[in-house]
Amino acid sequence: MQSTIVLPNLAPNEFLGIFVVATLVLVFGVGYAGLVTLAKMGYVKRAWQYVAYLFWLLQVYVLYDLSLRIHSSVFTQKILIVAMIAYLFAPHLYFYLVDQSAKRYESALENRKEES
Amino acid sequence: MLTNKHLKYESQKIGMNYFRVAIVLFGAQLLFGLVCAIQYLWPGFLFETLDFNIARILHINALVVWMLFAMLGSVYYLLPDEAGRDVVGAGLGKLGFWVLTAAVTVVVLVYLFIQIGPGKESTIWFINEGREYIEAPRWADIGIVAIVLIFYYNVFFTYIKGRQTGILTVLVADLLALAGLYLAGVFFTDNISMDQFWWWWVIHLWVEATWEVFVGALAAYGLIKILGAKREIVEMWLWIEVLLLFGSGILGLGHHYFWIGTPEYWWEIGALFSSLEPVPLVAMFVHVLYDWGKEQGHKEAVEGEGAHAVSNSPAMAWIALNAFGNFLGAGIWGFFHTLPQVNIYTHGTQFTAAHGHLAFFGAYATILIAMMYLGVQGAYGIKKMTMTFKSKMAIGLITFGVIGMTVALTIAGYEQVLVERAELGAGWDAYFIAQNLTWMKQAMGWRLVMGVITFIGFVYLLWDLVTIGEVEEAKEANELQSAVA
Repeated sequence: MQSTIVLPNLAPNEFLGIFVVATLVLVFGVGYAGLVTLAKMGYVKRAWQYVAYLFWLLQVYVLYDLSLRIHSSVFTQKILIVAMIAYLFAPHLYFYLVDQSAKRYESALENRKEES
Repeated sequence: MLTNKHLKYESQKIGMNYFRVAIVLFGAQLLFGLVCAIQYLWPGFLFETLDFNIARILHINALVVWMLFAMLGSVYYLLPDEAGRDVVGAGLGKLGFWVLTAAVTVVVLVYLFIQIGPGKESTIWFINEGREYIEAPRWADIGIVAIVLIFYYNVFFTYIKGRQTGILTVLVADLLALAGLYLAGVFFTDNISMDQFWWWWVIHLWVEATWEVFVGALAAYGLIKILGAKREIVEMWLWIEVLLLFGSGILGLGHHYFWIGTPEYWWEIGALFSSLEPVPLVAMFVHVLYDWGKEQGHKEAVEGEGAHAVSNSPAMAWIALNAFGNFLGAGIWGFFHTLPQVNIYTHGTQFTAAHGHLAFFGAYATILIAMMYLGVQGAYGIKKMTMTFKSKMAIGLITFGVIGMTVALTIAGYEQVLVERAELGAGWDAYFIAQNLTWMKQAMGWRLVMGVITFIGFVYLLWDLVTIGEVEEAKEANELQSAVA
């Protein structure tokens, strides 16, 4: 079968950078989701949510850097960027659903109390 | 751990039996792991008595089996709470437990004392099937399928006849997939690539799909039970996690298909979906901490500062550790060697072992230990269970030991990647040169030290599980007496 993808040879001195950057992708990702969560819960001031967006920007950058370091194809790079845009909205969608679910629960609870 | 005196449901008593065997097998897993760690440093240790290949089989199979025992125990334990009734076939459940325990004992004895066969069909049937992680011989495979059918019958019909909560609905669907996937590892093909292809269906779709969903369901139950979190909210989180876990985990299977002769489109599929696999783990991490913070805040608002929302501190500590461990072990350690461009160098090195150690501990051992503490709380009828000195030593030493082993194995893997794979080209000689370098030897030395620390932590855990019930029960009785006086 004809090979459709050719994996590049990585030089030994490239590995440490790849592992560090791959870790940073997730660390910044958790930083973004964590700070948004803490801001929504009221543990930190609302202004910290802007710092969260800074984490998201750093995550986009390190993911892009990772894709360059492992010589990703242009197609994969585009998919990764689309994934990052989706990740920007994910926590907001998450908390919107939590709020809606809490409202529905509270109103159902009140209705039950009134009925009893 | 040794009593069922306050448990009113037969299902929960069966669950406690499973927990007791699970903790013994956990100890066996650690002991055989220590034997392997010693053999890395002194290859002559127990040579021709318990060779590395046999000790490794016992180490890994004991891990898988203790987790399966603890999972069955967890389901039997939570079933009456969720369904609002006892299990439909308690007698069948007990029979299944004893048959499974006897079968596991026989399989372990065969591994220990017979070890290898002549390589004929009879070896596959009676000694060892030869597939990593699920080496059990065929007779045991068939027995496991029969016992799982009994278990599933019990879960499904209790669910149908009882209350159908969101947690149980997820579990019923997940357990069907979990049990069904085992069948992919039962039949045998002569072609090693095809065999590996199906074998990964069991291993990957267990640990990165169905087991993770199972953990999500246990965490949801634990949060409701321990924090009094609102079911509607917790179940909503659970459904989102199920969506994300199955959405990324099923096609993430591709990262096992990179180098076994499957078509190359798996490189792109594996890379993309494996990259998405940490997302639900972040979600689970946020979920646990969010619910904990919210319920604690609510409790303080109602009862004043100093009030605690947690009704079982050891279990909550292990669940919180699960949130971190799952993300670190399965997420970070998995992600940084999952892309094909990197995996071509890291595949089969100690990197995999580093990821395996932290992921199995972080994602599964932690939550199953939390369920054991919940079981002890129920068995002794304790309203509020707090951490003892032994609980703290157990969680501290085991966590420190496992992280230490992970770091040591990561360093060893890094050395293998650079020397054995990138510099020397992954040949026969390259392997042995890399194995004998100082970085590898020192890393293996530290791995053994950290393994011993983990084992000491396990001794504290076992001691705590056996004694904490009586200690906390007596403490609550004293508090009650003082309040009355």
